[in-house]
Amino acid sequence: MSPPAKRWARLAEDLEFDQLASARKLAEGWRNGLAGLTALLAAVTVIKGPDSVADLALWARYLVVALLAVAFALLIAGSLAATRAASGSPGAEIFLDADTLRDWTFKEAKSIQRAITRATRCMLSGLAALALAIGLSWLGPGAQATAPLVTVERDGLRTCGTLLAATDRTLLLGDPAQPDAAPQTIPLAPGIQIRATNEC
Amino acid sequence: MTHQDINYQDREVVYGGSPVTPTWAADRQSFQVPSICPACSGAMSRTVVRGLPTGSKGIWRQPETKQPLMPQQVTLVCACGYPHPSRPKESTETGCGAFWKVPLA
Repeated sequence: MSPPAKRWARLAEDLEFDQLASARKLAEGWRNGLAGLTALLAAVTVIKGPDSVADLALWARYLVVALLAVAFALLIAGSLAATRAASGSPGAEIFLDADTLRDWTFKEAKSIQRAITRATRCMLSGLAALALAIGLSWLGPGAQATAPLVTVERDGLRTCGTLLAATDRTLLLGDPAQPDAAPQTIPLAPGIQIRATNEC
Repeated sequence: MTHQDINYQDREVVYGGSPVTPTWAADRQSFQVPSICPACSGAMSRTVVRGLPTGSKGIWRQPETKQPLMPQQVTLVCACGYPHPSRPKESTETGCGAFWKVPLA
């Protein structure tokens, strides 16, 4: 068995003739890793479009979308980190000498450990965000039905508000700007006009 | 000094010479380090190429002018080309088996 320093020297010499094969191997690893990213897209789009969240409260809708975006970003980062750990880092160039190659190898080994840790954290966090988004879309609070806005005209007097209740003699109108304020009672009389409106 | 027909042996020998100035290739992608084997006195040279330890050009194009870190010394394995006795038949080496570190100027 040759001494370690000589083995490194011989390995560095041999690498010169192995460039194409190792380039192909690395490209293959990255191709598989990048192809896997498309599967992530399918996983994140498990919540199918706006229809799935249309019945949710507004804040829940935005939260689901934000969680999906975070999950997608984390899963992509995790997948790329895993590919980098498995296939190597593209773009590294050194002078193929014993000491340089040995130093690079030890650095690369540590870098792989860090990449694996990062990939694990990203994938787990991404899956957690995805699960949270799915759970929220199933069980999240629904949007509250808002009372319709109406305009009431009687004796030349115009009143606008949310229609809270109507009996055969009176209307109860709330103030849309102050939902907690006491509702206004308007007696129903001949000639009264009630119209739906979009804003007061 | 003429070549010594010594037995092949894996051993590190001490280089007692002065630092060597490498000869760069025109494209600066490699440099050559000439040396005399301190063990068998055979003349040889080693070309150190700028290469890819993992073998890829990367996703993003690397600037051609960006030089990797220049080594302070180069490990040379005797490649004098003489058929030294006791060299294993399966060996791909072409020298006496000695290796040494040459400081670069």
